[in-house]
Amino acid sequence: MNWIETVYNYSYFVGAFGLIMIGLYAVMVKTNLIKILIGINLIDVGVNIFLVSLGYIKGKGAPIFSSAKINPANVIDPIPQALVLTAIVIGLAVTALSLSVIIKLYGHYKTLDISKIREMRW
Amino acid sequence: MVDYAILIIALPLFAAFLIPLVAMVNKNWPKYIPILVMAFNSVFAINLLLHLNATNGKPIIVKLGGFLPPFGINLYIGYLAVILLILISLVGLMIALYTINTVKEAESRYYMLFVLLLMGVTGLVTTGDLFNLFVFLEITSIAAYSLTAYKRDGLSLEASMKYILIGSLASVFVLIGIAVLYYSTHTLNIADIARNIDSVPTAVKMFALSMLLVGLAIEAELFPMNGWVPDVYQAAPTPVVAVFSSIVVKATIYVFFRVLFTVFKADVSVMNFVIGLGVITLIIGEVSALKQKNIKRMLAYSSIGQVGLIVIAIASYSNLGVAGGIYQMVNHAIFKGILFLATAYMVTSISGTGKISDLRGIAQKMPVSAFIVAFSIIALIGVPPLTGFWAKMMILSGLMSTGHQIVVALILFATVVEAVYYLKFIAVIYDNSVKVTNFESTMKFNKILPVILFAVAVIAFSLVPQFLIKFQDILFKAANDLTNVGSYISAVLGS
Repeated sequence: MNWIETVYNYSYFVGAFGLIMIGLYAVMVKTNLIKILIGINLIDVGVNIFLVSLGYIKGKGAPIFSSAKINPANVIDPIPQALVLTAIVIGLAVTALSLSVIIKLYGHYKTLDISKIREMRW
Repeated sequence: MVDYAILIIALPLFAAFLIPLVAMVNKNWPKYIPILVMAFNSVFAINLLLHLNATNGKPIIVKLGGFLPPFGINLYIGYLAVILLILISLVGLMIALYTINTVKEAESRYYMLFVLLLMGVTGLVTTGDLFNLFVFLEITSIAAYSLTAYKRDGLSLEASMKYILIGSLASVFVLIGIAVLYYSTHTLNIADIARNIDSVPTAVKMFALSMLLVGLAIEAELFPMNGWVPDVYQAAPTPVVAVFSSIVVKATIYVFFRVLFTVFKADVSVMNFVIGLGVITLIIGEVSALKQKNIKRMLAYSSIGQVGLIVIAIASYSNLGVAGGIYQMVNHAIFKGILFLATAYMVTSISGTGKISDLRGIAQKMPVSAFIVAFSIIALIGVPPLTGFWAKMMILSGLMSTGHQIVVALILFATVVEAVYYLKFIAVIYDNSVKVTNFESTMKFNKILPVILFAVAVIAFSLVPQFLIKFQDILFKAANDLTNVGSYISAVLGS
C-alpha cells in the first residue's frame, strides 16, 4: 500500500502534472486553434498549481501576523503565492493577445483549422 | 551615477507607457521617444563601462528597494552585461533612427511595443533574480509577439500565432524549472542558488536543468526548437527583425549561459551536449540558407547558423573560446543589423517583394548601400583583417585547445557554405549585365544615415589596433565574468 500513500502525499503534484500532460496532448494533437489555446491554458493552470503546492504545508495557515495565534513556525511559505499571482497575470496577457490574433486569423482565412492555414512552409 | 543604474530599465519602461499619452497631445512626437531613450541608455551604459574600468572590474550590484540580496531582488552588471547593454542601446538607437520613415503609418503603439521590447531585453541581461528573469523574458516575448503581427496580413498573423504557441511552451518549461529550483534551494537569487546547488540531489538538479535548457533553447533559436524563426523573420517589419536578430537572441544566449554556468555549474558532459546542439544548429542553419529565394528568410537562416557558432564557442568553456564567442556576438549584432536594414532599404526603393532575384544589378543605382552590404557580408564571413576573422580565429583556437577537432572541421565547412550563398548574393547585386528599370529614388537621408555612420564606425574600429587591444582585454574580462562562479557569488552576497 506504499505507493498509494505516496500518491496521496503528493496529490497536488500528481494533479498538476496531470493537467500539464493533458494540456500538452491538446497542443500537440488538436488542429483547432481555440482547442490548442485551451491546452496552453491547462498547462498554465497546472504549473500554477504546482507552484502553490510547493509552499503548502498541511494544517498551517497564511502568514498574516495580525492575529496572535499564529507564530512563525506555523505558517506556509508565501513567496510561491506571490509568484503565482505574477504568472497568472502573464498568462492572462498571453491568452488575450493570442485570442485577438486568432480572431484576426479567422477573419482572414475563414477557418480555425491550422492544417488549412498554410501560407508558409515549415 | 552607479546608484541609479536601475534607470537603465526604469526609464524605458516609463517612456513606453508615456507614449500613448504623448500621442494624444501630438501625433508626431511618439516617434522621437525611442531615439531619446536609446540615446540616454547608450550614454549611461558607456558610463557604466568606464565605472567598471575605474574600479578594477568590480561588478555593479544594485539592491532594489534597499533589501539585501538573498531577500530582495538585485541587479548584477558585470563586464559581459555592460558589453551587451552598450550593444543593445547603440544598435537600438541605430534601428530607432532608421524606423522613423520606414514603417508605413507607424502608430504610437508600434513605438510603445518597440521600447518595451528593448526594455525587456535590458532587464534580461541585468537581473540577478531567477523569477525576475522569467518576468523580463515574458515582457520581451509579449512585445515580440505583437510586433510580429503588426502588419496584420495573413503571413504575419500566422507567424505570430506560431511564435505565441512555441513561446508559451518555452515560458512554461522555464517556470517549471524555476519552481523546482525554488523548492530545492528555497531561494530565487541566482547567487544564492549557485551557493546551495551542490546540496540538491542530482536527479532533481538534472530535471530542473533540462526544463530550463529546453525553455531557454527555444528562445535562443537552438535546434530543434527553432521552426518559428524563419517565418517570424519573414513576416515581421524589418526594423523589428533587426532587433530580434541583433539584440533579443544575444540577450537570450547570455541568459542561457548564465543559467548553465552560474546556476547549475554545468560540467563537461552537459557542455558537450550543448556543443552538439550548436553544431547541428550551425550546419542546418547554413545549409538551409543556401536554397532560400527570399532575402529575409536567407538572413534568418544565417542568423540561426551564427547562433549555433556562438553557442559552440561559449560552451567550449576555454577562456579563448568564450571570449571569441562574445566577440562574435558583438560582431554579428552590428553587421547582421546593418545587413537587414540595408537590404530592406534596397527592396523598398525598387518596390520589390523581397526576392533575391529582384535586386539584380541594384549596385548601379545604389552604390553606397551596395558597398555597405558587401562590406558587412565580408566582415561576417570572416575575411582578414576584419573583425569576423579575429572572432572566428579565437573561437577555433579555443576549440582546438579543448580537443574538439571535429567541431573545428564542421565550423570550417559551415563557413564555406556561408561564403557560397553570401558571395552569390554580392554577385547578384553587382551584376552589371542587367539594367534596373523600376527604380524610384526614395532617398530619405535619415534611413541610410545611421547605417552609414555605423559602418564607418565599425571600419574605423576594426582597423585601429589600439582599440582592438583594449577591446580584447575587455573581452577576456567578460569571458571571466561569465565563467567564474565564485566571483559572482562573492560579488552579490559578500564573502
